[in-house]
Amino acid sequence: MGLVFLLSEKNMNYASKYKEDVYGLMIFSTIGGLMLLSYANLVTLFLGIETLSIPLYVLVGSKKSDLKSNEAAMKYFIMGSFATCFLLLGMALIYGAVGSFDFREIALQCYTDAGRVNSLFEMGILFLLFGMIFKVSAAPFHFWTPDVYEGAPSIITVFMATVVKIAGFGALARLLRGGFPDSILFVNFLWIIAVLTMTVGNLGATQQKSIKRLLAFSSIAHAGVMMIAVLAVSKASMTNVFIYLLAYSLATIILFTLFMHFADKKGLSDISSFNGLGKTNPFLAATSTLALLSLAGIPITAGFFGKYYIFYNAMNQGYIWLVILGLLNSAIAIYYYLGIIIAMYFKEPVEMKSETDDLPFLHKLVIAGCAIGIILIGIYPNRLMMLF
Amino acid sequence: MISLLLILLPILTGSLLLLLKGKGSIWLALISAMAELGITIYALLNFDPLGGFQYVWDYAWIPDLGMAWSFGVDGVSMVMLLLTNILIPLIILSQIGRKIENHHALVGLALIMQGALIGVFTAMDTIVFYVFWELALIPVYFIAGLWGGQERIKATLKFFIYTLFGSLLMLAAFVFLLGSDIIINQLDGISLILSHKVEMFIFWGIFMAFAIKIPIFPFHSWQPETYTQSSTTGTMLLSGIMLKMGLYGILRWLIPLAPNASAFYANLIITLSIIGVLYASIIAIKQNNIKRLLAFSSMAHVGLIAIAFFTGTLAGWQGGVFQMFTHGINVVGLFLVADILIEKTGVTDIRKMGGIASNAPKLAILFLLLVLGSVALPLTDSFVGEFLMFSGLFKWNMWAMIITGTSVIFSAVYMLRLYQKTMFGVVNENTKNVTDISWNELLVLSICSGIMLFLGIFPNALMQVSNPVLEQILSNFSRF
Repeated sequence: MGLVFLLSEKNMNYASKYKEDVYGLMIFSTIGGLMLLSYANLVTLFLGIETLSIPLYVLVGSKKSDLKSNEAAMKYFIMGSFATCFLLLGMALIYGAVGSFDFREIALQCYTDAGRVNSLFEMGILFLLFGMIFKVSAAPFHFWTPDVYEGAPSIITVFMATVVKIAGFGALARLLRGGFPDSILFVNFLWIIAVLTMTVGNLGATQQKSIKRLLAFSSIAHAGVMMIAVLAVSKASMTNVFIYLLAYSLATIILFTLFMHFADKKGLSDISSFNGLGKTNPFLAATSTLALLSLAGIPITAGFFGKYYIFYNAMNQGYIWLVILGLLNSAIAIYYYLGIIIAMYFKEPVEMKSETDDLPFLHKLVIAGCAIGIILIGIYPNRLMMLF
Repeated sequence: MISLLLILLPILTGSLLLLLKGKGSIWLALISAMAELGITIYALLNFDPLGGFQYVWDYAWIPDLGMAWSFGVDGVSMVMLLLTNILIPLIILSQIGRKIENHHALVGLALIMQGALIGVFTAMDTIVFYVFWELALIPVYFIAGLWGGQERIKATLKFFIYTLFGSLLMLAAFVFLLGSDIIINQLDGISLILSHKVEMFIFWGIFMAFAIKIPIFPFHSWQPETYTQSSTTGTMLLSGIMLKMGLYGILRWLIPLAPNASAFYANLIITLSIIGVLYASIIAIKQNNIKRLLAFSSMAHVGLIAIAFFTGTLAGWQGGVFQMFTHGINVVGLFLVADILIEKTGVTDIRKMGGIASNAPKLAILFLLLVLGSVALPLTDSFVGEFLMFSGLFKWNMWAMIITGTSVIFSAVYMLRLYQKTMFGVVNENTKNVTDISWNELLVLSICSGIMLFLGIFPNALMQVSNPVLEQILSNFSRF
């Protein structure tokens, strides 16, 4: 969980041109995220989600003069509040069925009264899951993601794609493992959600020209893979989700740093901004290739083991078809990741301005750190496993 | 330790070469490749063909999943190591003196690929095998994509997605094997009895990866494009060594892991491969692009090896392993000739060439030897391989052998047509300025044809390395 702090700290580095309140709101939001990673009571879950989300609504709109940013904030706020309503309704129904907000109580009731779990309880879980699925941007509640990711200031997008994702999945995994163990109610539901999310994310991403939207769709696809881990609940699945998220975050940070740099300097936001990077700046091209290969799950990167552990675990639990569908989705994903690699190495640079090609030293350091992390986890994943 | 050294040396030198620039880089690559060949020969001299896996190196990687970096060399691996480590120096040598942009990166990637290939050929653990299998794909993707023809980006994208799709299915099969209670991570432990359904699942997962890589009809559509569009180095690496990964995998992993399913589907796969062999041969007759012609001829020859492996006969396996080696040497020589011709004449269409023999007699002689090797004339090594493979196929089914046998006639038709159109005839304006080959090209082509003749006369020199292992694998899987 120190991970969250670490990541947000890294993110802060980029934000040098933003005002102090942005930092403040980010820290608030991170506190909400930490609550989500350690709650044991539905009320705390709700508090955590709100503490996480409310600063985010503001942060998304923090580019005050930008129309897109405001639109994104509005969209996120309205849809987010709507999802929260569902979440609350679900909690209320569960309270009605069980008479407690506490996890141990609920789990106890689940075990003892498994035979007569009533429809109130089922509806409660369903609504609760709706709310959570919205927060982690899984299909079919994913429509806000591309728009919000695109509209929000890039630094906030990184924050949302990493810290908020970690918190959301942590919360979901905790909910399913701690709150409703052995409940088969949501298995089929989550199975469909996982496949749908992966497919929608990947197919959506193949059609994108803008890097931010592409990464938004790819983040939806990754959410689908993590759904598999959450679904195959076992002792290891929390760890699996975290390794996957770590791998995903490291790669995303590299790509977004580069993207922000290009957006600042060249004013470009589509894939062509990466054109010819292999010639103009081999270091950045190599690290972002590494990041893309990691996202695609090629061996000797962190992403491979992230995927591997999740699929291994799911296979153990008997979800063979889910794993096969997941792997086929990885094959679709390689198409759009390669698109960026092709742009970097096989295409000519659009406009060669030598002074625009260098990043500040701090950013380079972050990128190098992430790249080393990706390779180290790719070679020694078990060292990381031991931490959990 | 030797196997680890063999893997690490080229990967490290290759990475170094990616960073270094300058004219010396290609010589450094050549030195590294020669050192690698030296180590391989040393390993070969101390190698005991009857001894099972040797030079084993083990290191626990992820103990809780039972994964280990474990490498070892047995007879079949040894043949593949020899092939790889003979071809890489030849490929590097043949490119000396060419004006290629970023040549240091090209040879660097080739060396990294060499390391990955050796990893594939020595891996004794399923996941390690998969890791190197993927690792070999990335350098060749860049080699094919960065240095090549007009349509190369499209062709390589297709190639990459095609092969990745296959290997992901293989990964699913491996993960499934790991996830089930059976511990088969280590090769020596393969003696499992899986239920019928599970075995079928495993078979198709692994087979798809190999079928795409080899390629077996109808999974071949990436191949002609990629061979035609990528640079010569890329084509040589792909056709000479990389597609042997799939063939090697059939012997090493597919048949031992799923013997019953392999026997069950042998009919289907042999039929598909026969269709593929004839189809590729007939198409090759009509090709005018020299690289496309060679691509289809390579597909026909390799399809025959796949057939031989699935017949499950000792003769077929012996011939197949032998032919993997000889085809590698031969096809690299032929693609080099094609590259020289394209370079010197500036055209790819064989109808526009002609009369080159009068200007370049050395090239003409060596090219003739390679062509004769390719059509499996007696006294060339391919004759031995094809003879054994056909006798294996004959034991399996006489009619299949007769039908497939026509591909030998076809191969004579297209190869001799190729030779005639390019070397003989009237000198035209494309070919009037052709000069003879340079020293390094002469050396490479002589070595290729030298090995070809040597193994044609003394096939046992190579066969004794792999035969005991093949007999052993075959007797372990008598069910097959």
